Amino acid sequence: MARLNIGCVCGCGMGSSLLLKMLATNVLDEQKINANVDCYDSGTVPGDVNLIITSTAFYDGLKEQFNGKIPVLCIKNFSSKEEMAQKLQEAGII
Amino acid sequence: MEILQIVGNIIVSQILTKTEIVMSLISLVGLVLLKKPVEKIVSGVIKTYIGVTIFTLGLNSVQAAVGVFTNMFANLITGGQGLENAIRVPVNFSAAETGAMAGYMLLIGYVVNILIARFTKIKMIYLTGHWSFFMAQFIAACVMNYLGLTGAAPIIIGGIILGIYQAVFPYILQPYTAKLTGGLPMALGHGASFFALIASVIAPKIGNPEKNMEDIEVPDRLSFLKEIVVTLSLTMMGMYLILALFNGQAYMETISGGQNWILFALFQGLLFSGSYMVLLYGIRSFLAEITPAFQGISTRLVSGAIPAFDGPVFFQYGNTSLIIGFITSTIFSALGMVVLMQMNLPVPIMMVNVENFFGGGITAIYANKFGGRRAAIICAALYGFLTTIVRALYFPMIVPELEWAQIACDADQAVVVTLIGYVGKLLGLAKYAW
Repeated sequence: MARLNIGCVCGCGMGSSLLLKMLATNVLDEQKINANVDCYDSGTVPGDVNLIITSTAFYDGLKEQFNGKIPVLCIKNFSSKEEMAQKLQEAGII
Repeated sequence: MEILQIVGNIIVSQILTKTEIVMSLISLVGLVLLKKPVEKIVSGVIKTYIGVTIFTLGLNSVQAAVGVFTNMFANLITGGQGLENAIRVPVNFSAAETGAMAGYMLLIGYVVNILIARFTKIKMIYLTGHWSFFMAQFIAACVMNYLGLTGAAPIIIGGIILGIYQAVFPYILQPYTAKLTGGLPMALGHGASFFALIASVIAPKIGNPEKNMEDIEVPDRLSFLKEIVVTLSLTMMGMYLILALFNGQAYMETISGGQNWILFALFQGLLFSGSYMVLLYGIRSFLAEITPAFQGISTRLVSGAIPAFDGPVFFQYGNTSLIIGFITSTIFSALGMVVLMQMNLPVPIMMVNVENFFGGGITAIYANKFGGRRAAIICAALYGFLTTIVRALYFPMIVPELEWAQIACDADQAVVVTLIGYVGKLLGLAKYAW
């Protein structure tokens, strides 16, 4: 299977998306899943990622933009590994 | 011995004073402490170096666009005496020099932050790397250029101030943040935190939390404003256009290089936005290496730490407040600009509409929580106006970082840098009158 590409998205691609990246990497490392996790601002998300993780503020816009082609996860609690793990599980990643 | 001296000189003057190197060293230290494999260390260090390089390229490009703005601004307030009258305080250092010093401060700031969290009851770990970096840059510019201090001592003092800032500002806001999040273990680590505090304190007195802003639906179509590149481009085109119209065709044609003067102004606004996006890309690249290292180390050393997160993490507590707060603070920030234009300041100040989104939004979200929609609008208006005019106090102190300061200043920078500047002035250290 090709390596998984995950995009974490926020307004500028350097603040909350980085927090999402750290949270996701933590969970993925624990599950020994190898993935590229990168940060993007909401305007420059490439179309070739396998999964998008974002916060409430950008969720609706991204969902609309990628229109079912790429799954979009919405994380509410940035200090909860459990929420991230649960949502990654629902998306079939872990 | 002479060889050693030459090598030593090269290391000190050409390697350890280069921002790219300093930041790479920070990520090297972090990655080694986290016992990462060699290939991760190599790629992390290189990505950090290149990230800072991209950042610098973006900044140079922003400077070009800011230069045009400065010309227009100067022409307007000096009645045609030109650029040399736009900055009328001494610029003794370059942004490269203050930037390297800021890198060391960042490192010391991280250490101090961890020590405070480890040994006091202030358990905050500041995870918003870009705000730490901005703060370090402005502290460095203030101590070097305004107070004329260089060498180890100011780096250490500046680093300690930065570390205290990172631990204490999220901490004093935490009672309110906890109410906002319903008690989640997370704090706000963002340049607007001081204003969020002001808003939380005054909101109950000027409004009613029952009348919640979030009960109002904003039209879905307004959500395009959340895309920073769109908002920024629109505002900057507006800014350049207004200044161009005030300056008039005759003057504009002297700087537009043959281009139609209106188009020239609009293109400059777009150039600014494009350059800003390059900057962001650079910052993103080096923070992606440094912040996880800091987080990894701090979670090993501090039990029960509360991470201080960037503002957008809290946008989920007020989507409507965010948009209304942004629009309100933009309008009042523009009013603040009008006031600044009358003040004949020794430095040009421009309105870059980024923090009105993040800071104005956060202010409105906190104010709405504790005082409803009326408080949200009043506090966002105060935010826009005050964080704009307060720049008159401290921008003349940080001239080496002036271009950058136009973009990345918020309430906390105003408080901390102004305090440092004025304390230094009271101690008789000020190098020039301000």
